[in-house]
Amino acid sequence: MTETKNNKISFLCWTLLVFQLSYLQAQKYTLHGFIEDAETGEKLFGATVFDVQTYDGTITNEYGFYSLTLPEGEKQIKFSYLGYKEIVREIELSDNVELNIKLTLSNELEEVVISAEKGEKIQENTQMSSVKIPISQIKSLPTIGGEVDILKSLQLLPGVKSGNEASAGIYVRGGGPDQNLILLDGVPVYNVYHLFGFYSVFNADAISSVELFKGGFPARFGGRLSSVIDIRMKEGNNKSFHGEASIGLISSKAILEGPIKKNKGSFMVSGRRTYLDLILRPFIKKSFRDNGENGVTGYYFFDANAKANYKLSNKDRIFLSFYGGQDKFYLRNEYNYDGINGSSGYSRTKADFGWGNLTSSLRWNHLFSDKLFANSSLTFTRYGLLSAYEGEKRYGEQVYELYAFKYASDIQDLGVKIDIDWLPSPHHSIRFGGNAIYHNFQPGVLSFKAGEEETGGIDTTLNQQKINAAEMYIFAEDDWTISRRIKANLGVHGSMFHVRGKNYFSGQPRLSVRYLLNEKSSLKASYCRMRQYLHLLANSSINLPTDLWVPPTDRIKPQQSWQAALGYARDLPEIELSAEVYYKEMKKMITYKDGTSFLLVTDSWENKVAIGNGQSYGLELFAQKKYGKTTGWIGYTLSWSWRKFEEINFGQKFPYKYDRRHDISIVVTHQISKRIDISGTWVFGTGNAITLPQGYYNAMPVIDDNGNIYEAGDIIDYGSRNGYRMNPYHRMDLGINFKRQMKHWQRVWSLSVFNLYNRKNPFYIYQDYDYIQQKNVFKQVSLFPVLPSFSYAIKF
Amino acid sequence: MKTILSFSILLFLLLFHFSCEQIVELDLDSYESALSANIVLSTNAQTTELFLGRSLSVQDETAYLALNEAVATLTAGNGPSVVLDFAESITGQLNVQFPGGTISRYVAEDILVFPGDTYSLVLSHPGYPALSAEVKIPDFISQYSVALSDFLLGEDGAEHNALLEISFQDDVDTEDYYELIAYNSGLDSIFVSGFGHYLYFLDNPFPVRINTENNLFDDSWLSSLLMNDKTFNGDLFHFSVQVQFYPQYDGQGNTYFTPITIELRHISESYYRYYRTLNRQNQANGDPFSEPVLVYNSINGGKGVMAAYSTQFREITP
Repeated sequence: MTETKNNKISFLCWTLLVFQLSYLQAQKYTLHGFIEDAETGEKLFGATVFDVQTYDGTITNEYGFYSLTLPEGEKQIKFSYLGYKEIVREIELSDNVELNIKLTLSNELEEVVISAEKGEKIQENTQMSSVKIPISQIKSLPTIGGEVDILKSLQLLPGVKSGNEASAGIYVRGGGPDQNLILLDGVPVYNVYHLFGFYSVFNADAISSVELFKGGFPARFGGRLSSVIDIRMKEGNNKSFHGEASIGLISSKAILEGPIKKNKGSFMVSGRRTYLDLILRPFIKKSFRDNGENGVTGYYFFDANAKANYKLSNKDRIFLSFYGGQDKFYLRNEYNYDGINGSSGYSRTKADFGWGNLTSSLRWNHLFSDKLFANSSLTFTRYGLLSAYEGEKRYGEQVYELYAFKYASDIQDLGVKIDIDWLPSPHHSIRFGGNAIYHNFQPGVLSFKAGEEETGGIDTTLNQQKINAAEMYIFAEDDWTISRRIKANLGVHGSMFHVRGKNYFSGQPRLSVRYLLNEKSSLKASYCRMRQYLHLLANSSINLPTDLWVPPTDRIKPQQSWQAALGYARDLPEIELSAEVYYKEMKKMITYKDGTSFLLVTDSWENKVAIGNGQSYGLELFAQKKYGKTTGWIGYTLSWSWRKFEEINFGQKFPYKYDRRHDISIVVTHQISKRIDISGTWVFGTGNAITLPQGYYNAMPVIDDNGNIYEAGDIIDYGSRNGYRMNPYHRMDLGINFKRQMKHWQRVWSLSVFNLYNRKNPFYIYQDYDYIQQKNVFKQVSLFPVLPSFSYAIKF
Repeated sequence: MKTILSFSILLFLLLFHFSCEQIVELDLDSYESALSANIVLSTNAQTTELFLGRSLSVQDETAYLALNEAVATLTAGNGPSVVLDFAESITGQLNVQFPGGTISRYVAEDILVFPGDTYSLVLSHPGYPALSAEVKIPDFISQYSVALSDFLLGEDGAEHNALLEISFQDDVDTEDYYELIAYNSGLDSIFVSGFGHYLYFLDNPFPVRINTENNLFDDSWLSSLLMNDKTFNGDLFHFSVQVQFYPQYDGQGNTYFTPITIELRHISESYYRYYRTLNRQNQANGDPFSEPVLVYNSINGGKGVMAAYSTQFREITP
């Protein structure tokens, strides 16, 4: 062969080889499907799917959908989810494949083999500053009053603080309680507290998952500065009927779930109500009768969840979910009395104080292709408060006193949104979509009538205003695997708010990056900007239902924040470790001015607030054990949180009320046997910062026209705003569950002790005068001493 | 299993037995007592007065003591210094929770206070750190005029309402504060016989209040109105308020109106912030739902206020 001919052949071979390689490179196919619980049919959110050989993988979205594009060939695909037995399937990938997987719960007492492939590992996840707690773990934690509380369990995580004793309020990385976007099946809930914040409105029996984001927010979330709490309701068992009923010290509840049509659709209905008012009702009535009156008083709360879903086709599924709940105080009283000269009198009083939420959503999942999944939703949420008081007094037939007072506030949202998941390759997981919301605000209307029959009296309504607003956002994000070591989530969230003829726009970049140091550890970093259009006027440290949601105005602009975080994650045998430092700045926050009371409704709310900034930074350490007989976590937070308002503390920076320098939480759950499990928590936190009177001094005297001098009283010297630290807070809780399997049902006795060693934790401090010592004293009131409780449940 | 359950129930019952609310008395950090000095300089005052007291811890039941050994020196710019003399101790009403105790009055006569000058105060008293403060006397207000209109006459003997219109020029280069006072008597009554009654400002049916459209009045202190110039900085400012007054009788069944005096004070920032916060603290006391109010303090090394104002009067007869 001549050299020229050899070169031509070589060139041809190389060309064919390159072409072949190119052709082989281009031959990719998509494996897609849904992953669900084998027993209930519930879709599993966050289940891991990956190629064992190449480690290319993905996770399921909120609806259990996954899509993974791989080169053709023989594949070993592993499907895993925390708490479930993993499945490995060998498939010949020569075409697009739909593969639906059913995972089975692992036996909790089996020896668990810890392997690197168990679920998505902390060091591999791009998302930082987020935690997902299995609902089963939440339900095993000790309770107060026998009530499992989702928001209280989040308070045990680093970076998340509670407000006062036993409050379910959430304060995340120095943010306020209004800065948390709390979603129930994608619908915002505005007031998430029963009983003035002691309990949240979420019935844990109806919930399937809870995920908390403290920073590094994905672009699909917006509208709040400090956190996103994404709560998903159960869908219901689509294979068989099941139920659960329980009774505790505070409330009773029940849940029923089952198939609408087996493997096609399911429903779930749950309800919860306190019952003490019903039990005490006859005794209270008797007490009124003993005083010659006919009356009753009481308090209750209830909530109900309902959800139904139905698979219309292999590509379509619809969901309908509903939540409703209410708190109510009531008083009814009437009595007759003897008037003068033989006349008779009559008095009647009626008082109601109630608040409640209503949310609903209609969702449609549609699979456009094996790489394109869409969720469209129509949502409604409403929060309302009503306080009403009326009374009447008569002499004979003549009404001589008649009065009525009513205070109401309301916020309603009607929204439509679409989220699209597009997974074009294993290296890109793209989400984009948009949302439009119509808001209706009624921030505090006061009406009263008073007077006698002859004079006609006063009949007036104050501050009656309804404000309509429109809010829209669009977003796009890409979870991009750049290389084996580097993965990034890049996104942008754009929003617009229209109210009273004014438009507000915002573009918010979101960035998270993960760098894999080795197979066991990684470095992570994130940066995000957030904007919040709605403000919450919160007057006191107790989560009062009278707190008002208000829109931005010319004077009160939308809040803004930016947050940066740097973290380290490591996967040890049985334990996941993470360490994060964060820095956050918040601007245009509002708070009530000094001396302002929310009771003053004669003045517009805008005149009662001061505008300022906040700053917080800290270190969070977290070690979590998720598997085995003993699970739990230890969290430590070292943090600072400041506020600065020109009209407060003379414009000087002051510590935020919930600035807690040190915060420690230890949670342990242990399975003693098949029938007994125990759990314990221990929490410690530096005391809250409050403002206390420290001294007093004379005010400038008043001098009248004649030169007479009058003392103007004393000025109370508070020092600086939030200058006093309450005593540290710490307590230990224990819980134990006794399970017994009967023939057709299971019964569970749960015993808990809240505040085991009876720590007198500070609830509030007040000033009093001690007549024996003859001096002013300060007294610390503790709310809950050691508090045992129990509940009894049956499951079938 | 049964043993564990029995033990748990027993422990449960024992723990339940101990449940009850408890109150703990706290020991607060020690509070350092300091001198409190209050002095207001006016272009209209013949006597300059300083009121001296001291701050006490809320847990201290000791009454105020007279502080009559202070050396208080007032200096105008680079001018001569004047030492205020101890005049008297004034004892207020004792109160077991907040002992009114005693405040000491120091005076100096015939100090001429001129707008534009800066006055500094230095005060020392044995046993306490020295105090110091300074304040600039605000300038006189230019183009100040008043008028009355829209009389709403009540029946004989009843109150009458009218619209009081006020205008003045605000200085564009500075942050300015003002106080408006009106008297139901003429200048001669106020300055000669010392007799005068305050007029009350009205905005039927409630008193004049701040609102978002007209962020004029921040507060009312006794019967005066405090203002800042945020909404009219640099303008020839014109505003009006409702006022209420009563007619006089001449003993023969005839009614007549005495002149009304309107005093417009150009006050220092310290004056404004002090009285505004003091008023808010007084209003908020006893309300468990309001945040505590910190009263403004302009005295270095102590408590209190050094304030000043220049004042101008206009008289008008209804």
